[in-house]
Amino acid sequence: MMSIAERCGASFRDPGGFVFRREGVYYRQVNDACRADYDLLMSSGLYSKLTSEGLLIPHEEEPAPGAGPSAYKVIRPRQLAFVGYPYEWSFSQLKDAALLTLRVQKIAMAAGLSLKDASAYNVQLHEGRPIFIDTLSFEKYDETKPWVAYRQFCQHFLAPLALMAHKDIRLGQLLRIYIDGIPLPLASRLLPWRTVWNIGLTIHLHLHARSQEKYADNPRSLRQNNRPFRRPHLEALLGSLETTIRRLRWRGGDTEWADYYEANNNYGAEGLEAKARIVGRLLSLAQPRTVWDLGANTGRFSRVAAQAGASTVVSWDIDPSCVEANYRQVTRHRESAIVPLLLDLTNPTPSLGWANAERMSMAERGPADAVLALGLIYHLAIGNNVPLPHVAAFLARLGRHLVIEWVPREDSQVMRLLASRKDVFSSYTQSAFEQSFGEFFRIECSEPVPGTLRTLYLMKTL
Amino acid sequence: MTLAGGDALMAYIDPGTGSYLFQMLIAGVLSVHMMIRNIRIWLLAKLAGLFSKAGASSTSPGQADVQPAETGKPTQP
Repeated sequence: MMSIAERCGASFRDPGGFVFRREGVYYRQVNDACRADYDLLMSSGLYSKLTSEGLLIPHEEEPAPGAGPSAYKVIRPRQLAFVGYPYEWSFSQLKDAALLTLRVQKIAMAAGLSLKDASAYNVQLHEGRPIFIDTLSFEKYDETKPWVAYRQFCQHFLAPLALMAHKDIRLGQLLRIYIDGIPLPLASRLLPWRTVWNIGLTIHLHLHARSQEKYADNPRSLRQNNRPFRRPHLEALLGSLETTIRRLRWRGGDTEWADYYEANNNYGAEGLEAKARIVGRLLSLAQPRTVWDLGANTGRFSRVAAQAGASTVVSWDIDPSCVEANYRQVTRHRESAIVPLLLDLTNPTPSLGWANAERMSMAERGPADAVLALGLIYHLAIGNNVPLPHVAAFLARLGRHLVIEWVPREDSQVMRLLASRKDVFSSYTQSAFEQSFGEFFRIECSEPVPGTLRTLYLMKTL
Repeated sequence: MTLAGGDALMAYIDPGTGSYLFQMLIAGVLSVHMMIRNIRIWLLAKLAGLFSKAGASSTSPGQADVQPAETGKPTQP
């Protein structure tokens, strides 16, 4: 009998099945409740079409029986390298996930099936492109019924995208508070008045929100309703949603980032190249398969890690513009190793949802084989007043190896941080840094970065 | 006639009474809107074809709906 510990914390709502993990491998159990829909997915040709087009995660059926009397089958989906959450995605990643969901729904309808949910968590970045991962989201399409997932689609995709595009990119973080998507009445109130001129937003968000409020206390009105609903109506609804989503643009995401590093730090092009060579060399000594690049900017050094042999590099950064630029590069070039995600390292993604177990915290998704912390230490130690031993303790939890850049107080970036505040950082010295990190790591080697006052270290946890 | 709202509550997620009814309310409006939009796209394609030999191949109504996303091309194999 499967223990509850093996079942994934997020996988309990759908009676059709659940995800569990055994010996490091994720499986999905199909329950009897979903037998007919699963068989239809496989026999209708929909599974073949979606997987051959790279829209749905492929799987193999396992010979082993499932758990409990309700088990029908166990499937082993192709394993994801890393799981990121919608509140960690860039604007374009959420937009692409929305368009993917609509496209999957259209193809499913043509095959006689429909999506029974439209959660943003059903989409993940896999090998450089978004992919639908919930094999059990499909059910037989009843052409006389509206889409049961319409509310969820608007809450998970349309509302955050509209808020990010028309109000403030940071409002995407509301997805962290509202785990089942942003309530439409709230989104409607937050959006600027001018969005009423956008017919798609007026219909699917503002009027939709009014309808939700009007009928919230009157569920019986569903049974009293006798309006017909047919396939062309749903096709029109999906077409309208798609047009509305496509037209949402975030202006801050259109900046050119080619010279980002040169414009924002004190390296010349040669210094950057030298730093990249050293980082590549240190990483090749550690030979990590998974790397977390903390404060990755647009992912320049994440790509150095990928070239050094890492198969998965999670590219974390606090700046939505950088994550956006990074994501666009990943999808443009189908960079299968890079996973760009948004993260404030001073307040990392916590575990969320029911029993704090539905969505994993940042640290729970580790440890990585190696952590990259380049140009980061002063942001934490000075910008956020975190004592060096605390920084060392946290980084030691995140990865087995650490490539870290020491940035002294004489560095122009540190001086800029200190220019407008009292210098209470007398312990911010290279020897204190080595001593603090020595409590948790063995320093394998270090190398100065040519043309700068900085030093790169390779460390390994004790 | 089958009543669309009959057993909506059979869904495992809450479809939301207001969301479910709203789809029925706007269904007709959206159908007309999409039809006008598709005719417009078809007409524009025809007009473009008249002025350009290279663009002679016409676009059928609704074809614009399956274009890839502008940012990246996640839905293309």
